[in-house]
Amino acid sequence: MTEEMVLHPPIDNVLQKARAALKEGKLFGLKCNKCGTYSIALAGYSCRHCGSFDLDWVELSGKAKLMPSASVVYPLGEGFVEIGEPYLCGVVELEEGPLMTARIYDIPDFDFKNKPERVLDLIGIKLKMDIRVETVLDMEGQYCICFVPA
Amino acid sequence: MDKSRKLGKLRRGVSIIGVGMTKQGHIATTPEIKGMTERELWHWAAREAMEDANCRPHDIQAQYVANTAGEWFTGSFHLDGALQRWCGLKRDGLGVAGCRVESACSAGAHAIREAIFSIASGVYDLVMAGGVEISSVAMNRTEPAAITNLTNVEVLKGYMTGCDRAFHYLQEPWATTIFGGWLTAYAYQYGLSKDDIYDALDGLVISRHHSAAHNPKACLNFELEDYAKERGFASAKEFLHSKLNPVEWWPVRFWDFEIATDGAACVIVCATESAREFHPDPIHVLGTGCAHGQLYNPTYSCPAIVEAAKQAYEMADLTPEDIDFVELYVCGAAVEFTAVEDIGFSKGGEYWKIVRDGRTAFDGDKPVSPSGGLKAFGDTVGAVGVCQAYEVIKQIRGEAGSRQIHPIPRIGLTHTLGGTGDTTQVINIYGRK
Repeated sequence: MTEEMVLHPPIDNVLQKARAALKEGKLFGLKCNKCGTYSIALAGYSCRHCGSFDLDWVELSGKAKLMPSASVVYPLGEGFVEIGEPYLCGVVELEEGPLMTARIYDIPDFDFKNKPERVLDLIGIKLKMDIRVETVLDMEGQYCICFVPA
Repeated sequence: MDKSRKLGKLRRGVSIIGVGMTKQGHIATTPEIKGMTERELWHWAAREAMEDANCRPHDIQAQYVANTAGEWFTGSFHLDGALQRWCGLKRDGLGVAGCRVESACSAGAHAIREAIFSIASGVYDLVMAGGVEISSVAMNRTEPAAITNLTNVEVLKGYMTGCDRAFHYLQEPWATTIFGGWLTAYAYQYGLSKDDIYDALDGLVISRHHSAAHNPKACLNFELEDYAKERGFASAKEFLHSKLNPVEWWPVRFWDFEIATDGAACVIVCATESAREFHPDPIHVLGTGCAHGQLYNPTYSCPAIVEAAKQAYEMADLTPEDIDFVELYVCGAAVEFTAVEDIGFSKGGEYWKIVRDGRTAFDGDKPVSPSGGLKAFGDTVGAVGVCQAYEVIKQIRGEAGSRQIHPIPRIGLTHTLGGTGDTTQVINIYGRK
């Protein structure tokens, strides 16, 4: 095979690279060389603002804040039997700009049973990334991007 | 090409001349559809639609069938080919054009759009568009008509296969958005208290059941007040605040959610210029819009709904004030408030009071989902957008029986949401010109 016959794909193994980084506690982003916007690599290989493919891999800081869309999840099975501990889930905005959704743990004094409405008071709090191994429906033992208060 | 470039108009008029739909329910238990597979459900809906349109299978030139989760629940894809054999479209081994359409819960609305565009282009004159779905149970892979029961969690796993496993799935976007978070964001935006939220949710559930009680094809066609009293509660409100209605995704409770159903619906779509050759009262397609987006956004508003609505209004030369009623896609109650206000059917921050005061039932002054909506009529996943069209056409014709909106509406809008992380939003507007 001559050198000119070797195909050079226009994209590398983005997901494998980004998923492997999670196992090392890192969240990779893609910085656009056209407009400077940061995107999350797991979310897709194009700039989320201008659509450019001219992107550089960068490690994101993991700093974020909680946005208004947030909910307390009560895992219930058949007959309303509790099948897990309640937890907070919310839309977060990363320091570099991208939005994502995530589980948020270790909120001090959060009374899941009696005061779930306190979530409305938490909007805007500062968070930091805490990657944990989770099970989500039929995906077991996966590295998930979670957050805790900063 | 800039994505904000103004869209074109339909090159010729398109009308709906026939509608058909099965009873919504569960094939394991609902008497009218018990033991049916997608094939019998499709035959029922398609046959009823053709009879309503006064047309024959020989007149149909193409078939677009929405089916979203066939692989997961019944082990089938490419169902469109088989279904042509169940409604007379495949004769002597030769069928008509068309395909299966899949775009999560918005698939049915997309199937209608495919029919609209194929007629507006001039290629076809008469097209069948519909949807069929079984998602309450699984079908045995080796015995096609045998049923395997599923738990609610297993059904949820099936629905969430529409979520991007590379990223979204593991981050549970459904929890932070359509199942609960959108309502938190709405409450945050407009300063609603916990009591305000639950007053609005109570009004929503009671109104939907009131409409569904007058719809014989709805799955849960009973008044919630009656249901509560039969179980020893003084009122529907007392029942909704009992242990039989636990919070699942705060603030949304079990009874605030949709009821997942099995069923099918079908419409016959025709070039307006020849519509009256078949049916004396064709209802016209006035506008259609569609936008992809994401469910997680900076505020309670969903830009994809706003964009889809804008496209549909521009095509129709209408404003939100022209819309008499809407059929809304509300899987979790959180969707309701965002969708209605993004469509413009209610002004920002006002809608929760309208819902709280029970004004959105079919006999209220602001009718939303007179079918009973996904809450009480049912969510047939791929077929929903077509079920919504069925209701809108029946209402505009004045054929909605005891749930008829008065005065008889002239223009109705359907909103159909697909997806649980990424999302497709479809707005279709039907009416009289």
